[in-house]
Order: sequence, then C-alpha cells, then structure tokens
Amino acid sequence: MDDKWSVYDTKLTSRLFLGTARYPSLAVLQAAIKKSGTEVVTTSLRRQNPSQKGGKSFWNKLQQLDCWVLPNTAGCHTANEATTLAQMSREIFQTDWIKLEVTGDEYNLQPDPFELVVAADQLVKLGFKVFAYTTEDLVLCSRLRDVGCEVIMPWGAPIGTGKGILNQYALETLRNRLPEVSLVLDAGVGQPSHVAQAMELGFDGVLLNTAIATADDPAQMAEAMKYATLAGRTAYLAGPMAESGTANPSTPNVDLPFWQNRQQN
Amino acid sequence: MQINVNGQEQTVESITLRAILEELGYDEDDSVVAVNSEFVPKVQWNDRNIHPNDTLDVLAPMVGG
Repeated sequence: MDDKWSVYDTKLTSRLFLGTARYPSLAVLQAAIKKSGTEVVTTSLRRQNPSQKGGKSFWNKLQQLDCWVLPNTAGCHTANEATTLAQMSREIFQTDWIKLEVTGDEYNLQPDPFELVVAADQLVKLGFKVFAYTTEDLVLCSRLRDVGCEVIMPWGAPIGTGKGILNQYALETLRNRLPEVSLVLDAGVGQPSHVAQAMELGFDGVLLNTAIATADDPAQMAEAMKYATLAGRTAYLAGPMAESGTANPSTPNVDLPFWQNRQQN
Repeated sequence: MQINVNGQEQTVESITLRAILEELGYDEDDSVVAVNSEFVPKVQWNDRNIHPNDTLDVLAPMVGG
C-alpha cells in the first residue's frame, strides 16, 4: 500500500515515531528501531560530565541508523526554558524539528497549556518546526495550530502509564475539528491495540517509547507496533462499518431451513 | 574564579567560554552551552567572556522519549 505522508514537507513512509529511552542497551534500541520500520526517533539533551562519554556513544550509533531526529524539550517547565533548550538542540542535532514539551504537573507529567502556547509561538517565530506534545483539549490544540504548529501530538494517557486511550471522544473531536493538522498520538500507549485504535480514529501517526523499551523482547514488540500501525491505518482508509445498537444477522435471512417448525410453534 | 558548571561549583583560570570548556575537558563536538540560562552558539564561544558566579549548562545528546 502506497500511503506516504509528510511532516513539515518531509516525506515519510512509516507512521510510527520511536522514543529512544529506557532500552536495556543501545544494541537493543538499534534492533527495535530496525524492526519497527520507523523513520523518526526522539532524543534529548542532558547535562554532561566530561569523564562520561555515554552521550557520544549514543549519538554516534543513532547517526548510523539513517532516521530523522526529533529532539525534545523534556524537563522544561517554562516557555523560556523550552525555547533555550530548543535552540541548543538545533545547534547540535542540526534540525529545525523540535518536540515541544513543557511540563505543568510533576505527578502525571501533564503539559502546561499556557506555557506551551507561548513556547510554540516563540519557537515558530524563530524558525522551528514544532511538534507540540499536549493534552487532548480541543481549544488548546486549536491555539497551537493558530500559532503555526503543523504537527500536534495529544496524549492518550500520561507518559509511561501504558493505559491506552483514556478519552476517545476528545481524540475523535480533534480529528474532526482539525483536519488540516497532522495528529500524532503521543504517550500512554501500552499495547499494539492502542496504536491500532489511534490509527483507526484517523490519526496520522503514533509516537511511543516505554511500551517497546520495557517489553520482554523490545525488538519483537517494535515489530508488533509496526503491524498495529499498518492495520489501524489500513482499516481507517478502508472505512469501517457503522456501529449498530441491535444485532443484524450476517448470514442471509431468507430461505431459512426448518422454517416450518417455527411456524408450528 | 568561581563559576557553576552543571550544578557544581568550579574554579577556573580561563576567561573565555571556549577556553573554560577546554580547561574542564569538554569535547566541543558533543557540547552545547547555555550561560545564565541563555543559549550561546558555538560561533560566539571565542568572544564570550565568563564572569565570576556565572552559571554554565553544558549539555550533550542523550536518549529521550
């Protein structure tokens, strides 16, 4: 099936984005990326210690995988922090793409809607291509679109919970109300069925990390997520049947055998 | 002079940002820097003087979700 799509004019074949954290080793991460078929992986920036070269090893290996890099601003709590970190990411990762995260609550890592919009506005004006990680609030997502976000990434559930899609109605509403925006479900995915569900709703893609990284066999789970993405997307394009409140026999209801017995009763 | 680097108090002899990073052993290719929470592009490292009590964040690529 030829189903290419694009984010900020970059053509993609895969609709699965992968986070790179929490894997048992870099080798397992590499295997998972290959099995998933992803073309986009997320990264971060952290304080470094000159005596530890872990970051260099990670970055060297990631560059060998021929994927687009999507740096994040995880850990930022204000628009100014996120803007500074995005500028630092642009220099070292050599990309205008930024996965904008501004945390408003530490308990469930819920995005701060107010700082998020300010940050998105600042970053778009600085030439960034913003992938905004957000809650599923329609008005918030509309504001993010208004300031120039072409890719909006609502959560299904809080990061790392694996609870799946908690508010399907809101995600359906987003799809219906923001048809021009690329919607990527980000966070909360635990099972391939959650991925398929998002794609069946008409989402353009899914970003996930923990569900693969903490599986017993991350590479195998990555492959499962790839197929779930394809299944959901294909089903969406095929046009699912309308739900019915009553049973309808799938076998034709004419010329039934033993009809005479029922007539006698 | 005393400065703060990645949350640690450090004593350095150099003045410019580039010289301080070299003095502390940071690899230029892997590092991006903010001084007092403001991004300083690499092209400015030679000319940017650091002052006592300045705060440096020296960051490197890392895994992320």
